[in-house]
Amino acid sequence: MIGPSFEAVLDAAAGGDEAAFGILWRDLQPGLLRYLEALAPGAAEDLASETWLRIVQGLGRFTGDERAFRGWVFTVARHRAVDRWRRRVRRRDELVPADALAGLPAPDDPAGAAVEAISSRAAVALIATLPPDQAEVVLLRVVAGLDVAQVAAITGKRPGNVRVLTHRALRRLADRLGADTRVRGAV
Amino acid sequence: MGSDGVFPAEMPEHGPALIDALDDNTAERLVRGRVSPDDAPPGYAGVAKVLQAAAGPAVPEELAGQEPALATFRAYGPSSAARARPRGREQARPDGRRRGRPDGRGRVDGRGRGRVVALALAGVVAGGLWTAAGAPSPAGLPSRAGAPQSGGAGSGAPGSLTQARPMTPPVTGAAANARAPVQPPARERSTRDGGGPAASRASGHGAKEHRPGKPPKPKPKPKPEKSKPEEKPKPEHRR
Repeated sequence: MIGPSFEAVLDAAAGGDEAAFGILWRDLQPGLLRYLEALAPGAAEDLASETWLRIVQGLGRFTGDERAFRGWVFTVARHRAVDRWRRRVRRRDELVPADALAGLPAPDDPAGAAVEAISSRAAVALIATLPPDQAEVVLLRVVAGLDVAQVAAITGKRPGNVRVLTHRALRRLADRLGADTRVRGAV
Repeated sequence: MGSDGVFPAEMPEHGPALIDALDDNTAERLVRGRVSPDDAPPGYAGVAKVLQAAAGPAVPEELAGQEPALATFRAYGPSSAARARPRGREQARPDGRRRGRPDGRGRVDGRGRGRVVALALAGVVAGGLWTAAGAPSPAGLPSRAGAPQSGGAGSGAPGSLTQARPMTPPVTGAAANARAPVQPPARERSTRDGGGPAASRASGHGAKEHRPGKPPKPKPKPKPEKSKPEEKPKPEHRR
């Protein structure tokens, strides 16, 4: 979060100040990549670029505080991800050769990696193993730093629904981590 | 068989019992990263760690794309000189003045008002000259230009009476001209009013209609006198 100087930074960026835009970018880009990586694995960089292009084009028209700005950025990012998902669904009937599948790396164990390394990437990978709606809610709350009302607005759910999904996600994470710890402790 | 390679029936019973249900407040604090793993409720220490790591500081790889992003900003972003921001916030100029309406509004208005008055006066004079120089007046009717003669002293009537004419559209002026002095009987008046769009012609027609007119011929004389007091106040209102 940029904090009290956000408005000045935003004004400067909207006036064409590259340094100010750099501040906004550095503040939001990590969370954006983590969120998009969970929504569209392997395409986060591209989607983030598309998102920033939209942000840059609309920067002069934006009105609001930092909270609203963050909400706007992640809304745009979500739209980019949904668009990509739709494009992929249209091309779903393309056949994938078996050899190509054999060459893909086996999925890691995100739970073990997260507990041991506690890197942000591993943590996001673990969250991404949750059911999609739960993973998205948790990431928007944790990574994007949005509140319940904003997440509800972005995802098109009711605030109560967002809370329930968050509870379930935390419980499921706890179950997974606990089970993993128990299994490894037993080993 | 479960994902851990253990049949559910073989799972240890004490495991899930260690995980408490979270209340809203604790869940909120967890999500905001305000619960350290040591203070987390039983079973949620790992969750607290994971959530804190997910919201952790940026790593260098995540910030590697700054240059392309700045290039995008240069190419598509707002340039500081060319674009003014259409935002609701107040923006101060370097010289301390605001954008938008100039501050010296009263000064501009004063000038504008002076111009309007000058133009109006010029119109009045031109209209008066035009009227005095021989604007066609219905024959046999007391012309307005002549009204001041009977209109009384000190009214500034030449200017004031003719003043109304050039300033108003000729249609209405002529129509008023035709109506005011004559005041024909109701039937005649109704037919004339019906010819609205040709009201300028109506002034002439109206005059001719009343000339051969039957009894109401004497009426025009008193009428202009009646109409004068009605018209006189008009310029005063203008002032």
